[in-house]
Amino acid sequence: MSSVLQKLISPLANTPAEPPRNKVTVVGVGQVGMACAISILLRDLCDELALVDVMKDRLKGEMMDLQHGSLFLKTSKIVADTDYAVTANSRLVVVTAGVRQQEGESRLNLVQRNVNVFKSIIPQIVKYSPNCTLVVVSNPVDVLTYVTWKLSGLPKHRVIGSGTNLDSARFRFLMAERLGIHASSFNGWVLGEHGDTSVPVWSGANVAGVNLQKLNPEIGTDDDSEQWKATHKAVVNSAYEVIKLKGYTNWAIGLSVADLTESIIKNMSRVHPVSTMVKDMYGIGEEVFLSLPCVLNSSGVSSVINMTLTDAEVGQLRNSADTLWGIQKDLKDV
Amino acid sequence: MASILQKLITPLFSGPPELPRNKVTVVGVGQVGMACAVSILLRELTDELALVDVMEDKLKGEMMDLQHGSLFLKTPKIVADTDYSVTANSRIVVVTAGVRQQEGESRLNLVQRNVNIFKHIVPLIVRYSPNCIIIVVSNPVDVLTYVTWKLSGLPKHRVIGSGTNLDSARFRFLMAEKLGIHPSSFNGWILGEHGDTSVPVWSGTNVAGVNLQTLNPEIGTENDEENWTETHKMVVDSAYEVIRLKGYTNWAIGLSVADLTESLIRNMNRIHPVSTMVQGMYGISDAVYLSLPCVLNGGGVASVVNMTLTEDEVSQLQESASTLWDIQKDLQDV
Repeated sequence: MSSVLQKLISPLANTPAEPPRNKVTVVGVGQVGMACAISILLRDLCDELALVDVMKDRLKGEMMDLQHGSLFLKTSKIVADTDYAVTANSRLVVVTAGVRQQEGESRLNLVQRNVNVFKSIIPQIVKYSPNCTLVVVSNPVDVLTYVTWKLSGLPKHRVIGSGTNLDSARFRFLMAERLGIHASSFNGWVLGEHGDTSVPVWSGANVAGVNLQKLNPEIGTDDDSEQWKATHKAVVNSAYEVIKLKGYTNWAIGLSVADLTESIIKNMSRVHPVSTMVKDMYGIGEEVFLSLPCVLNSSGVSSVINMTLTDAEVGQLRNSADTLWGIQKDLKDV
Repeated sequence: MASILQKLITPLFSGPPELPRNKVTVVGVGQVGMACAVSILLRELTDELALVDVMEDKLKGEMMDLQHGSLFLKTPKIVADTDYSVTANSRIVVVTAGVRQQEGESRLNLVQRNVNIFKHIVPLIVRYSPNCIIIVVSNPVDVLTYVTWKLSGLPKHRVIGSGTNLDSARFRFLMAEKLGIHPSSFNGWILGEHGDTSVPVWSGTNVAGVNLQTLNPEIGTENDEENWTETHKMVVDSAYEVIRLKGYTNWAIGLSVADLTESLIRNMNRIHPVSTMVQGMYGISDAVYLSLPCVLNGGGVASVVNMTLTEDEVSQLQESASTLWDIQKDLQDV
């Protein structure tokens, strides 16, 4: 007797299922990975979402929980496996996997531990999606983006670090709050290293093209009576503060990764501050990744905007490059 | 010396800021509450989001993390406080507060623990938003929606339980998978108690109006060689399975709550299976909440759809009603 399916539905095309056109993989299903996943799903950016992790049960549980929301989503295929074959044919792979700093652990030691994790992850990603663009989120992001680039063998325009995209979003939110406007109406860029030594480019900060430094030449300096510098400091402290309060950050980074994903998947050529290979720019002689304004589209980083930076700002970028190279040069097996 | 703000921006009018028109409050910033929050934000349903909880640091951390994503959102005001005055003038209040199911624990076991919490929360909600609609999510949802209704003094059409909205979404996902179609193209309703004794209305299941029971009269019975009843069993087991795998569920429930919120906020008159006061229907004489197909709009539950149920389905509803009343009649201080 024929089944309900056979009675109900007559196939018209006996062709195999179409491969996905806009598949996104998220590696790592911790809080950050899942925030990236839900943001990407709610923005309707991909036709297939794959999740990968080493923790089998948690991975399956997260996949099921997302699938159970399928009625409310436009992403018809959500898959997960510890085996990277599930990631095949991805356009974009978001890497949030890795280990966190132990108490008292040096950054170099943390990085070497993460290199060892990435050594098992990155080649597998590339094996199954040789034409993908990689977005690295795991920290320290600039070093790990370099590591990813070396381990992947991909050209530099296909390996991006989430970098200061989030720092800049926080900067724009906090600055805009002080001015009573929406974050998207405040233009300001934080570049360089993601973290304690990020560089707020005060000379470019503007609202509707009105340059803030022209209104207040002391802006960002210690002599500034309005102490705008404190706002950048608040950006640097943001992550520590949120971690202290709730144990981790995830929503803002997830939303910022979805923002990058949108530019890449939709071939938009929007400019974002993300971590890219900056050798030979600003007098930097080493192969390091730092955040600069990059034009993102479906080929990845198609170009970089040349900033007019002050000598001090260039000096800061060079210092960051030196610090990063200091760590990178001692890494094994990269 | 004039500040940058004064130099840059000239106010046009000096009135008080506008009140929010579509404010949503989420009570409880655990995994479920935050999934509701981010789904509501990403669906752009509200002009102001308020978060409330007792855990001060976690609450502040979650608020900050969402605020840091402001650049990527269309909700300009995100606030949080342990004091309920922050929730004033909400249109919708989503209650996710309370303790959650432990592995293997049935929903009914949670009851009195959560009643005591609600005794504190509900009067505060109503004090600050006397015209709101309350969506109760905390489990056991049908009992707690009854409790909320009693404690709030609100008319019954403004107190809704998330009920079997999620069960039905899971049902439609699982059934649709077997038929190779999208969940939104599979019509099927699960009603009654959210949980172990939910009622799948097999007689109504259809695709494009083609009734599945007509194709297979044994559907949902033990004699069914296709064993479709297994799919409903999977729905009932879903939450337990996901909890076992990842410790809790949050994404699917968050998405389903955003779906209800959309119908209410946008005054859409869409029909959803949600928990409503069913006294006087289907021979039920006690004041209990069970899920039936409800028309939701800006006023809350505008009406209830009268189902043509089999005798067996009606008696299942009546049994759920008795079970729930058994629990409710012994509750203290409701």
